[in-house]
Amino acid sequence: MSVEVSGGIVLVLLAFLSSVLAGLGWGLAGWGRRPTRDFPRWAYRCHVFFMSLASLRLLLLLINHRFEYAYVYSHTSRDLPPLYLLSSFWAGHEGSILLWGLIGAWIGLIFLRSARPLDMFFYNLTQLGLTSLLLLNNPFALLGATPSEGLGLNPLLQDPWMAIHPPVIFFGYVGLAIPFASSLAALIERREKEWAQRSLPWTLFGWLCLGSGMIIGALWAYEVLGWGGYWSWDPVENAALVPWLMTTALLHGQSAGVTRTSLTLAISTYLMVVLGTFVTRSGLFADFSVHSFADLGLGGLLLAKVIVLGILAAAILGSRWKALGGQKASLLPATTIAVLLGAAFIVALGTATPLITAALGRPAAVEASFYNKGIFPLALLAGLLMALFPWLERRKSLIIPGTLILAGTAPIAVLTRQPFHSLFIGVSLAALLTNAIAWVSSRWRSSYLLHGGMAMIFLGIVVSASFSTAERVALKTGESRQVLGYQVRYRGTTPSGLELELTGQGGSFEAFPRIYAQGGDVVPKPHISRGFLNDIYISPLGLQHDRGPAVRVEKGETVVQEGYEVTFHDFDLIGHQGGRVATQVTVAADGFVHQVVPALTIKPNSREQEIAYIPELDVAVALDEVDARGEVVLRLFHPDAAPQVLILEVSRKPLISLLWCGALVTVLGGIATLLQRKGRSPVQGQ
Amino acid sequence: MRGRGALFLGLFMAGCLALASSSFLSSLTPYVDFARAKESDRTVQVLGILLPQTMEDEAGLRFLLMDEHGEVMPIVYNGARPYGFEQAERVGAVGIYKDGVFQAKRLLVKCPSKYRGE
Repeated sequence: MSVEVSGGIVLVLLAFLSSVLAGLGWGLAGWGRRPTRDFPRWAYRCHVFFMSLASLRLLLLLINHRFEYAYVYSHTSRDLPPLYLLSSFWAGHEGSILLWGLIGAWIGLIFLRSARPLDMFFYNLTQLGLTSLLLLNNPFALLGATPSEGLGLNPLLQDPWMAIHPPVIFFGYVGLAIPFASSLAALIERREKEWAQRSLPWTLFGWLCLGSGMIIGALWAYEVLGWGGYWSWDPVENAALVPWLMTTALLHGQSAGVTRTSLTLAISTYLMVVLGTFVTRSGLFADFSVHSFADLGLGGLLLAKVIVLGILAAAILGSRWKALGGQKASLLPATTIAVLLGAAFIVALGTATPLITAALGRPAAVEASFYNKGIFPLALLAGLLMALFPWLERRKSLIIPGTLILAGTAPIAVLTRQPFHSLFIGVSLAALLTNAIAWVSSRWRSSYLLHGGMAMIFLGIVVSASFSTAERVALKTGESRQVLGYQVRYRGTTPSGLELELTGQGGSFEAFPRIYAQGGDVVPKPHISRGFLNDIYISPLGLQHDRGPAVRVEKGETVVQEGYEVTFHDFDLIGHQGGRVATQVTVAADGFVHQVVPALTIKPNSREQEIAYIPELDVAVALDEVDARGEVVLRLFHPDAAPQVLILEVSRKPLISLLWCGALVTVLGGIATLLQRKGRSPVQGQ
Repeated sequence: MRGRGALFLGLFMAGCLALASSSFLSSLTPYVDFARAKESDRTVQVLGILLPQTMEDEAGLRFLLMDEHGEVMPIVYNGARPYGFEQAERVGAVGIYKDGVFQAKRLLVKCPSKYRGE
């Protein structure tokens, strides 16, 4: 077995070493001491080969249920379907870093074809960082024993969206490494002018992947978590949003040819990616985030990496700072960049607040309202810019977009009396229309498609946030109630879930939300009835047995409950141990006395009831509570007859579909832009 | 155009910053223990161990938390039971203490390491 101990990690070590060699080669070639480029290229290809082999190794271990490996044991079980066996590869920290490194290695192979030695030197640094991280966080660690079954994959992660979310995010991170690396190379080689155009496709690629990854994460939260939202301003989400906003600013800077700002942004965005990873995986946010990442002891290494890279980059940038100055951006891109960076700053500030305030001695977090209020004026201006952009660009009069904004805002403002939200809706609507018109009249220029898609996202966000309605209802089996204009009937439980029937004006439909027990936990899964205008979101909050009234009795006391004489005699000391409290109870009926011992075990996080059943009477006795004075709470019920009570939240979310459609349009616009750029000559300047 | 535009942009960004900082101060939720939470009339964040008497009704999820000083506080949360609630090592709640109950707007569930391995 000891040979296998090293199997996977030796491959990682070889990948690390070949990356070191490649880096040395490119360093020498780049600084002109050795002209040959073949050596580092081959070293890098070895790096890619070893990363692929190491990943294949982990995949095989997962598929073959090799539970002697800690990673396989911690993240899989034998009953896991093949898709999730595959996605368990990146379900944990070590595997996700391996995936990041693998994607980085592959993308580097593509970048290699057009890159200069120094580009690759800096790009290779990121691979070096990832592989060194892997050596410290070994995905191939052995347990020292071979369990017959693994712990399984967190059921929340067993979702197709969640399976593809991490790889898409990593493609984004890797894409952003390229403008970062090539900006440093360009600064050293003084080729800044052509840098912006050359690396723009990679920025766009990174931007698209990071954005798609976030949208996929949002879809997952919406479809699986059941709280009805898709975004919760959690540190982990913000750690992706901040670099995404910065990348959006970078895109505008690069396409406007604002070189110095773009170079600074390219560098700081990637540093923000690494910093975000550090922050979310260091355990620093353990008390502030719903995502539970353990403290992996990585904090130091990642932070050191950010600081070293930051100082290095600042020095390189500083050496060229003055030489690159003197160039002024025109107002439109300058405003766009300022708005995006302002939003990034607000999100970063809110996210870092617990850390900053803790350092000052009085820890505090910000509420979600801070982000919403802080970003609102910036988002409004962003919407306005998008609405005016197609007109400003062609120096046409602003009458048409202005009228559109007013026409969109005024009626909604009158109807809803929410002036600010209405203004936002009007602006977004105008942005959608002006970009749609410009898209058609410009013969499908993809930047209009991109902005039109963003306008749809804005609309979806603000309309669903402003005009959602929700109602809560408790239903017994067979009962029906009026909720949000629907007659909701709870038919009962079936193997596929809870069976509901909703009848509204437009007909009726069935809904099957679920509540299932998994590993001692209750997992609710909402049912979403999608429509273009409205989503009906049905979230089960709880399912309980209605066990009738409880009675509080003292020691020696007798109470009459549903015709039975119930007497609590004493605590049963024999069974009294380790948090378990047992009681001697008699139930008398029709001249017969039945003695039972219902018990309750209280553990730190749960409690278990031992319900005593009297077959002759078909009555169950449960011990619900014990208090300090020696009183107990007993509950008598007929187990079969006890009806289930389902607690539901039904909400109507108007136009949330626009958010997802808009994301799709934006992604299509991004892909179209990439393809259109590919068709052009790469040396085409500004 | 450039000069006036830059001035306008600068003013707008300054306005945004002023707005953001005012909402920053009002939305700060300090981490406090239960005794402080009960005295405070603003939104705070608390953290405690879940005691075993959770129930749900139309008003939401009702449960008891105990903080590190052994103080117990009833919590009501008007929303879906978060995943991992029963198994949580600790539960965090953001909200206001009012009328003898802590009314949570948001829950943070600290999952045990079940799916992480140790």
